[in-house]
Amino acid sequence: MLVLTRRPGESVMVGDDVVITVLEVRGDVVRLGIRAPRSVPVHREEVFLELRAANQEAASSSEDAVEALSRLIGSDGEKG
Amino acid sequence: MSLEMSAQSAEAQAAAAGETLPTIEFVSPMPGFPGRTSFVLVRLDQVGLLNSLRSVDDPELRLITIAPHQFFPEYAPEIDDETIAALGTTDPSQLLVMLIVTAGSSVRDSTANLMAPIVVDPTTMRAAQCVLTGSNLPVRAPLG
Repeated sequence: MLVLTRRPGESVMVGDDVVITVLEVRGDVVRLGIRAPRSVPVHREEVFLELRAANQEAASSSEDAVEALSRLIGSDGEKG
Repeated sequence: MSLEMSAQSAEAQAAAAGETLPTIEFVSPMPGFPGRTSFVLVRLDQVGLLNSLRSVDDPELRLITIAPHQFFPEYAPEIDDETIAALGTTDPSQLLVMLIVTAGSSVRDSTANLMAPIVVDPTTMRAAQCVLTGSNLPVRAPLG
């Protein structure tokens, strides 16, 4: 891991087009500004990990479960 | 008929009729599916409550989505300006919102991701999984 020391207002470049700027340091909280192209998603790590797990779990839903869901939605649709 | 068969027959019917199935293009990959940005959108019922998204590059990768209103009538996500710009949207009211469903062993165990809906611009056919940062909405909200 590359370890850098930066002061508020200073930035780090990641590749050609991602800029991470230290905006403020207050106590044990650091505020960062991140400028990246739209094709580069930026997430808090814990949010990314949670979404990745949920997405992968959703992609492996069993056929039986999906079928049950389909029936439920179909029958509710008929009622409505 | 299983949903898998429904999905395949919907795809097959469209192909037989010479129709091009709508393909949506994610402006950036969804977390967990790096490099997968093109998905075929297949409507699995008459009114578009249930859809399937199948990766063009990885046909084994399929997600099921629901329209929010049947299960979460109060759901009204605020899509941030950056996402709207990335989608090339001129009229945000036209955006199609879909929730990724994780189907559990029963419908009661099934959940929908309210924190990160998929939004699709029906004009540009661009899509994004929009993270509603700070919303405190659940990633796994029970359907039952």
